[in-house]
Amino acid sequence: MSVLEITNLRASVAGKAILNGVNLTIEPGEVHAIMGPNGSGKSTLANLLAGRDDYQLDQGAIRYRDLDLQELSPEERARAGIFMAFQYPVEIPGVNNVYLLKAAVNAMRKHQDKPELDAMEFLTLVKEKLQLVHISEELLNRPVNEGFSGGEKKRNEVFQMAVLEPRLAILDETDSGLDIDSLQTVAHGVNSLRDGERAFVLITHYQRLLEHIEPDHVHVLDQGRIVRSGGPELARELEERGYNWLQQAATA
Amino acid sequence: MNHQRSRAEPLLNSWPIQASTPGWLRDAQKAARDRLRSRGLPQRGCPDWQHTDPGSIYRQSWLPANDTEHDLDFLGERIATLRLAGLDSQDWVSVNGLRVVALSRAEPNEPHITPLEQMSRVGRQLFCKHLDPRYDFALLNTACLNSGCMLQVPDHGRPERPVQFFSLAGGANAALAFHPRRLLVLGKHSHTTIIDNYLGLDENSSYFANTLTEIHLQDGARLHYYRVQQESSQARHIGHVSIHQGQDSVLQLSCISIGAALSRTEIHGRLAGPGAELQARGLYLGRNRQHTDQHIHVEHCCPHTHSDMHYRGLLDDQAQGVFTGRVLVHKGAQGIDARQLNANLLLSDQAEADSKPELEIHANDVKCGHGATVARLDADMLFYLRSRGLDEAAARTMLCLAFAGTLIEQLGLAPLQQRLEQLLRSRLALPAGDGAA
Repeated sequence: MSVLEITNLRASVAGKAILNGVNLTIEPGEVHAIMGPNGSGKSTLANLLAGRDDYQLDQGAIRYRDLDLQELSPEERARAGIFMAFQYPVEIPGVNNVYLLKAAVNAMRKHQDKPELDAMEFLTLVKEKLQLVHISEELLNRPVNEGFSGGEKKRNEVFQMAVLEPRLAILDETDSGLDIDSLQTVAHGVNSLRDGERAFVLITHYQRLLEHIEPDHVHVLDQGRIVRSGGPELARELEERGYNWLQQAATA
Repeated sequence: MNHQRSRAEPLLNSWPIQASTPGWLRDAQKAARDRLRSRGLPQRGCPDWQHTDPGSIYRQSWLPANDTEHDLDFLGERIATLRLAGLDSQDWVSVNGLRVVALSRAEPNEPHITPLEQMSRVGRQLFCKHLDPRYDFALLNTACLNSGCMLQVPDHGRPERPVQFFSLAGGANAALAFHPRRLLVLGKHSHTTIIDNYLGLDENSSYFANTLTEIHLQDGARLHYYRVQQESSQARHIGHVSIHQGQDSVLQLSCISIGAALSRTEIHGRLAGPGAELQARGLYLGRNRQHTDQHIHVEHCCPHTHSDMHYRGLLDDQAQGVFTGRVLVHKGAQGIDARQLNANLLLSDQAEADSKPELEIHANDVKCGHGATVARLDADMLFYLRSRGLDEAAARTMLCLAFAGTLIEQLGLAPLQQRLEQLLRSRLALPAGDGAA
């Protein structure tokens, strides 16, 4: 069973068509990079997968394993194993980071008919995952993302991903605005979560992240369509030749 | 502007001055009654009543409460639900404004609480002394009061236990009104904590509680005063708190407003000695068609006085919350630091918040700041939480607790903080519009 199967997907935001027929199939264990210029529809695709309200699916279908994604609320998608690392993680004053994470873990476990973790079990889990992303324990007890640096916010997303252990992880421009240390940390986190089962969608503008995470497939999105797919070499080619090369090729 | 006012007669006539009333009190009552007769009671639209309609108080005919026999076990159980974990206290219990001696308790070495009619000379001198006659319902309390007490903490007194007032109401077949009066006098350099609980005994009782508390802090006194209003959902509650603070005195005031169909809490503070400090914290919750009004007026009469108000409101369904914060800095009162902040969170499209911070400054060396916000739950935050697997109700509850939490954590009484959090949680767990207040 494929993890994700997107067929002829057309979608709009506020009445404006953004995706114009996307086809994409992701098998367990695969890492897919989706690249493309600004405004090509990359983030729309990510938000659509996560189930954000203002993103309207007009045509086509998204199947996640044996489920029709359109039928599921954002929390049902999360509990079914979809995780999105946000491009701009929101700051939530007054909600403690670790408190949210515990509520999230237990919401998932409840869904899976597993007993909730008690405080000690949860702490053990958190400490183990902390090492993956080099986050200080101090950040855990701060309000969610509040006062975090750009790098800390992105690491925190990857940390949450590590704790929640999704089946499909979508990283929406997690590399943008990251210094090289944070980039390596994020990549290390992702790589150590690759287990042959878990699938990843890396949405990125630059090839930089892909130097640290080797994708199985690279797709180029332009004007709401996948205009080219290939292996890791496609990302390197794009780095050398820019997106114009493909845009010209597409319109030629 | 000429605003219509309502005749006070019908209300006054239900509470004739009692024959047993001592002369000093009778004089004060007569004066208040004359004043009310000539000028009436406010209606919506009158100054300070722009957003609150007291009309439902005038339309109902209320009866005075009689001293009746109580089911002490039942009352004891209700009081037990109000008690905060691990907090032992000196208690003063009343039902419908009248004291229940059997449930009140004090150790011999604790501050004296005396019924109003037996008040000492000090009390009689302070009674009404600093009341601002512009507050109509405070005047109505004086005009109609039939019960009350005075708590006096001697100079340098540091009672070990806090005092808790339990004002229980309802449980009667008739629509009752009562006008309890309280004087809290803290002697020089005394410290204490007072928790003032108002609780409806059942959800269906319609009653009108018109309370007045006069607080006098003498030089160097420090008081933590918590006022927790959980009247029944049909009740009307007007609570006036008049405060007079001497030099270097500190009052930390926390007003929690949860119950009643219509409630208004009026705080009038005078910082009358240099170095006096008033910190006011308020949390108000509204749901169904509740109307809650927080009115706070602080006068900086002396140099180097400080005030700091922070009120937060959570309003759901068709509830309406009103906040008026007024800071007046008198001429010559230099070196003032005054802050006020009001934040409201609307949980439904029909909920309403009216917020009005006001500053009036007649001095030049003054640091004043004020801010007011009215917001809805943030869609991005909700989505973020849901994308982590929390259902919508849990996500909303988490955000509401976070909103209220920034205030609750400033209250400084841990068991009360826990109680409020618990209460918020159980209220938010109910779907909108479900159940009574």
